[in-house]
Amino acid sequence: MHFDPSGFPGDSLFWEMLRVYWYSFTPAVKLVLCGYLLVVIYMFVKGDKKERTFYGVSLLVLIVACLNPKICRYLVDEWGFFARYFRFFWLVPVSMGYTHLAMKMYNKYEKKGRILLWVGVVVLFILSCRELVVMTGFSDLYAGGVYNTGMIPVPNIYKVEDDVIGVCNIVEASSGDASVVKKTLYSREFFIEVRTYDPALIPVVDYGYFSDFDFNTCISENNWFGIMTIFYTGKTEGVDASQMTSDLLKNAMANVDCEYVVLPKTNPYYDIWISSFECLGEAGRYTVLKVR
Amino acid sequence: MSQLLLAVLCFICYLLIYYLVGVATSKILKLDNNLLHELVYGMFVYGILFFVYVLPLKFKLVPVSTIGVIWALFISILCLLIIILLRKYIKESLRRFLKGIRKWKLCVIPVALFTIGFILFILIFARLPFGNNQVWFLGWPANGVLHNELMTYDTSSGVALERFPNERYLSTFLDHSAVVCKLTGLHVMVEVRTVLSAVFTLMQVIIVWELAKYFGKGDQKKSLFAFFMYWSVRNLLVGSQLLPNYFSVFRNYEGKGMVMIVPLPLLFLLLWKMYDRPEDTGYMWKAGITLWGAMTYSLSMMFSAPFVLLAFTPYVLVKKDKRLIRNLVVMFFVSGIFVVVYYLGRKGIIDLTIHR
Repeated sequence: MHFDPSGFPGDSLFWEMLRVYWYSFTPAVKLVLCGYLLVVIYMFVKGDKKERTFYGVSLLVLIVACLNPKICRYLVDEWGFFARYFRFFWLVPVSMGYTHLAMKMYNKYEKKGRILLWVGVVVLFILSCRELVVMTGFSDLYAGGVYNTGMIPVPNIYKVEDDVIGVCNIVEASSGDASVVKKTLYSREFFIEVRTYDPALIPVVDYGYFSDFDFNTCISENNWFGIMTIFYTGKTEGVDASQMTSDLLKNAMANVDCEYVVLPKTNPYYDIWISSFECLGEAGRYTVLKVR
Repeated sequence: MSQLLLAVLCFICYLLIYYLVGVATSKILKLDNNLLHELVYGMFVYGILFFVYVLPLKFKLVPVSTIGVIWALFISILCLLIIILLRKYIKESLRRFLKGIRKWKLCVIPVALFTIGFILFILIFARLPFGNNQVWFLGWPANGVLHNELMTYDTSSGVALERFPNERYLSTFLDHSAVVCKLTGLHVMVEVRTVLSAVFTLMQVIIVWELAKYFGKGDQKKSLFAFFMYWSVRNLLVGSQLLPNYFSVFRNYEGKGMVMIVPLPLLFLLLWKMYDRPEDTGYMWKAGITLWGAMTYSLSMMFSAPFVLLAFTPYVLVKKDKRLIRNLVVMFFVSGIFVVVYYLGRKGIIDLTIHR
């Protein structure tokens, strides 16, 4: 859904969106959505005036009013609805349409037919619950800070990783004032949960997205932010290992606005970091350092 | 443990307040004295009351703690007055509810079991999805509690904002979370991801149950069949982040998720009921409350409501009843106000500058 719209002028944006949406659907979703078209056709042909207009005509109006390339372009350009456009598809009453059709069948049939319908709905319900479980525990789509490896209960009532809570406790204990913001260096993975759990830990790097820096250029231009990034991301390619010293790191951090570092233990320069700054403690996969 | 206890208390308080506000609404507007309806419409009316109260204070940068104390006092007095003045009405509502449970005993156990199971499933297994959206969304109340100001700090960078975010400042339920957390000490993550998640799940079950009852036409077996049919389709559609069904499970505490699973299906149901009984003005009030209330949860409702109403205009017109057209005009008016306000904010005509 979040692709770059600039490469899709005019009507092509709408079709590209549909293509992206379609490829993000699971087979069950594709089946149900295609089936809904049959529900609408059935309601249109066999339904009474109320059903025809509620399911059939309203869908046509929606298509004319917003679900078409021209209006899509207008809504994206004029109203800034690019990332929100898919929500217009939510206005189609899919679950209600299926339920209505099932009820029509239920009312139409006598005892045996109704028993069959009950069996059908029970089977469908079990299948749908299976879909729910699969999506929750076994799909990357819904992974949290830790990738999905099965039906794992949330680690705590805050629903963030224990490591995140541990790190925040260490930083807050060191700072002594939870209401004061602390410039903290952390990764993208950590960013997502810490910004909601403890917003006092504000990121040194926006969104935890680190740019790629060339080591030699950083050294020659005294690009301290770049040097810090190389140390933190653990970049080794194109890096002269002999120059990666504690002094260089201290120099870099002295020139960057940063108070704490949440360092993954897997960092290749872990020892240099540890020897350069005060270690406040460890929390799971991370070590917390105090820079100043 | 104390957070868990606070969360349970908060959940009960929310439901109690929604119910009492709903009771007063139903009495004033002469709506049906039905406990489930009062819960749902009470939630929307409560949202509207808070919206009206907090918006000017937010612009004046009144501290969250002050906003919270005044609001808590107001709500306490309001609830007390409702209990004192409408005790007979409340008694009647509870009596009817218990009678309904006895009458609908075939459905009560499976629906209640499903509701509890579904809420527990969401609370225990639905983990934080990986994405900026979570920071963007949950960060507002979290920063509100930290800085004691509402929506004045960027959720991702933590930098002070110069303008209120146009697409967010009308969603005052985020401010409500900040106020409650500041006042009670409940952590934002718990209030939003546990308490609100449970409240919204309960609300969506109520709406689906109402839909099922409508389709079942008062027959228990038919209603139960419709209920599980609806959930089956809904659960089958969880496999896409682009569908509301996904939000109904994994991110139902978000404004857009909430408006697509509670007020939107409710609006569809109200359209059906209006069609059947155009003489009942209660549906007009209910639709108006639903629309306005939903706007205070997410601007997704702002941009989707006019299109929904437009799509269902032929449906209203075929009935050829002036009262239905009046209802539609009222709904267009309510949703239109928010569209205009959003557009004026986007064009810079409404000044959203934060004056420190």
